Amino acid sequence: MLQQLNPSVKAGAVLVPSILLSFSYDVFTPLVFLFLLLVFTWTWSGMPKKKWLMLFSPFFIGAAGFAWMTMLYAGDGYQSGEVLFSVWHFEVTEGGMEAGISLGLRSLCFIALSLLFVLTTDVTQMMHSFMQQLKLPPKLVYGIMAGFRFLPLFRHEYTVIRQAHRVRGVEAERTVSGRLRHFRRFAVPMLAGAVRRAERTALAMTAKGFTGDKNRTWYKRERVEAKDWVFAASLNGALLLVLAASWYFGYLSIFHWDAGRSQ
Amino acid sequence: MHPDTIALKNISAYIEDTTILQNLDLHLEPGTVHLLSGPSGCGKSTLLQALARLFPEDGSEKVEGSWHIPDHLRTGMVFQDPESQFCMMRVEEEMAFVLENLGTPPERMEEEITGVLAETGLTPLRHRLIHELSGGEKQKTALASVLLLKPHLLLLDEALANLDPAAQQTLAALVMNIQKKRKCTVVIVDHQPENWLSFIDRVHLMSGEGTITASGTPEETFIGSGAETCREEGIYIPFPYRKKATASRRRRSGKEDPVLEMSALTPARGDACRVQLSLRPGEITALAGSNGRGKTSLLQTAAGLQKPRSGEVFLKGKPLSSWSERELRRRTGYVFQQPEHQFIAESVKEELAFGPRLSSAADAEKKALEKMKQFRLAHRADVHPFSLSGGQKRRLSTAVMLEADTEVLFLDEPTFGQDAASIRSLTDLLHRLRLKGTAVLLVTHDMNLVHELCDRVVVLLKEKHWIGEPEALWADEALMEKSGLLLPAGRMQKEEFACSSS
Repeated sequence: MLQQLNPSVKAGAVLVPSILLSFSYDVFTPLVFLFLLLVFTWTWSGMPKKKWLMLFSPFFIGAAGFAWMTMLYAGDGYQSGEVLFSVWHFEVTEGGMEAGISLGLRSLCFIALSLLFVLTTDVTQMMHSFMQQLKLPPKLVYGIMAGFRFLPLFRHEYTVIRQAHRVRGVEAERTVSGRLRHFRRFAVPMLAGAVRRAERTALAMTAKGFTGDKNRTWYKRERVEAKDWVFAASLNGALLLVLAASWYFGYLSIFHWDAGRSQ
Repeated sequence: MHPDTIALKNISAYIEDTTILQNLDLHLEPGTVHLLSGPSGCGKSTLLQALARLFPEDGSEKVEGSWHIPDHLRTGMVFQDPESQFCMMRVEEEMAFVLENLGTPPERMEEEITGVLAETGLTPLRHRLIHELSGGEKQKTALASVLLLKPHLLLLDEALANLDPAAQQTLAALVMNIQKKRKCTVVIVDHQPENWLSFIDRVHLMSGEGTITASGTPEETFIGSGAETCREEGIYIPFPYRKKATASRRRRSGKEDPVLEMSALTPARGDACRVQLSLRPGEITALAGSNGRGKTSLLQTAAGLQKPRSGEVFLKGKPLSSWSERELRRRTGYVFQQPEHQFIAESVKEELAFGPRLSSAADAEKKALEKMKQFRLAHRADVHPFSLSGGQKRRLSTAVMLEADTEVLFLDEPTFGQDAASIRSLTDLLHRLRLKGTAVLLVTHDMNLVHELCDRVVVLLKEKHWIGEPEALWADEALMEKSGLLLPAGRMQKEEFACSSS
């Protein structure tokens, strides 16, 4: 199961394909890789398909929007081949269409990769792994952890301040300068609150013996094991296979240099 | 002298030229329990931090005098705010964080964590997320993590202040048991220390200048030598040492038409359900019940800040929805728990002129000056509201909500974290409002306030509520028990203090 993998290796394993994919401008490569990713996610993440689809669908709509915009506005470099159809006075060429669909598919690949990581990783484990494997300084990591706990409090505080101002008779501002003033009125108490809370937390952490020293003992050791490398190798191997196939069948396009064999 | 004794002699401390502590003497024998009492801002917290070796060391500080805290002495400190004492997500992780800081060998950690969780009764919560715990459970978690430091000296800085009365009692009892077993020295700072009294060996009274002016047993200090200081400095005298407060409810005729009515009101959040309540001019009504029952939600719904799930609120016979926002805000005032949330201007004067200006009063400036005098803020006219002291902020936040024609005032936990002087100025104000005929609805845990001042109490229970006079509530033991309320000090016998804590 992906939950048991080492977060640092998992992050690396997911990051590499994201970068490599961003260079392939054809349709075939991201399409096939996306298909493999879905298989990966559904067999190994232990995540119910329905829940995953619920999370994925809003991004799907976003990606479709991206693709559509790219089709219409694709730069001259992509405008090749016949004009397929025209919308108002935008003409969609074969090249533009390909660029658009490719971009959409690549976005979906990034999203699937991100979800694969985010949904199977525990924040605490990740932070511990960043300190133990990537040697990030504890001061930074525990600071982020403490800050992470504040997020829901901010939301709550924003609601309360809005009500408190409403009670004072502050009404919704419509002009730009009014909105600016409005923003300042919110910013002062929120910032003051945040600074004070941060100070209190820092004091409490110091009182608990936290010095930021790198020489700590660990309650739970995050280890890198064979299965982590198997995961990294299979995910990236899959991408290499797809790239190879794409090259073999002549689809592969890096930027707009057609790298396919048949070219 | 015992090797664990702490002795501070003639200590003065300054931060950036501000005197924090002055000629302070403090002697802590191992295994004893101490209460530090003093007005807000007198340096109690700074003294605790200094004892925990947390005094800021950035060069802006200066400490004089003889400072004897043995090096081998370990200290643990529990703070007031349950929200900002943790940096991990789960109870177990927070415990591990402390042990990792200490460099405890991993193979010993399991045993230590299991041990401390059992000691504090947190075993069932071991894998729970901290932010989902109740306030009392969070404070217990803070205590447990601190106990892992194996402290010789345990410091509690208003550790009970954010909890409801039942949770306060539980946590105080837990600390007492732990102290008996571990024999550690304990120093407590608490504005209303009733929960701790039977347990305290010595009380130290601090004056506003940061000096300890009287030390002794609770009897000696609160009744004897320190009584004078308490009155002068506005230090809260806990009940057994105080003359019985006479309830000063002087009911008005009660025949006037209600100014605010709730009809089968169910707020959107919390347990309150179909509340039927009317407030008459000059009547003070309290909303009580344990945390999470939806007291604040009901208060906000009554003030028109939240939409009700069902039912309706009438102000002067007209439903809230038919009042214009501006008119509604002029006739009602709402004081939030955190005074700072309500401040919108850059100076005290501007803050007080803001309201009158909205109703286009030409004499806004004059009105602001009057208010400043009335609320003893005149000397702070040009100060930014955020730089006021705690008590001043509280006065200002109340002052801005009181217009000449305010008919209903809503207050959320008005005595929360206040020292005796601020509480007194609040009760004086409520008295004046009563005479003027303003109706008051307040949310509070402070049963002393209810006893001394309120005409009626609404107790929120799960799915139900109870409305009646305070005396009837105190008499109903089953109800008190069920709602997690404690008798006000004025109704408790001295022996009950002894029993409840032993």
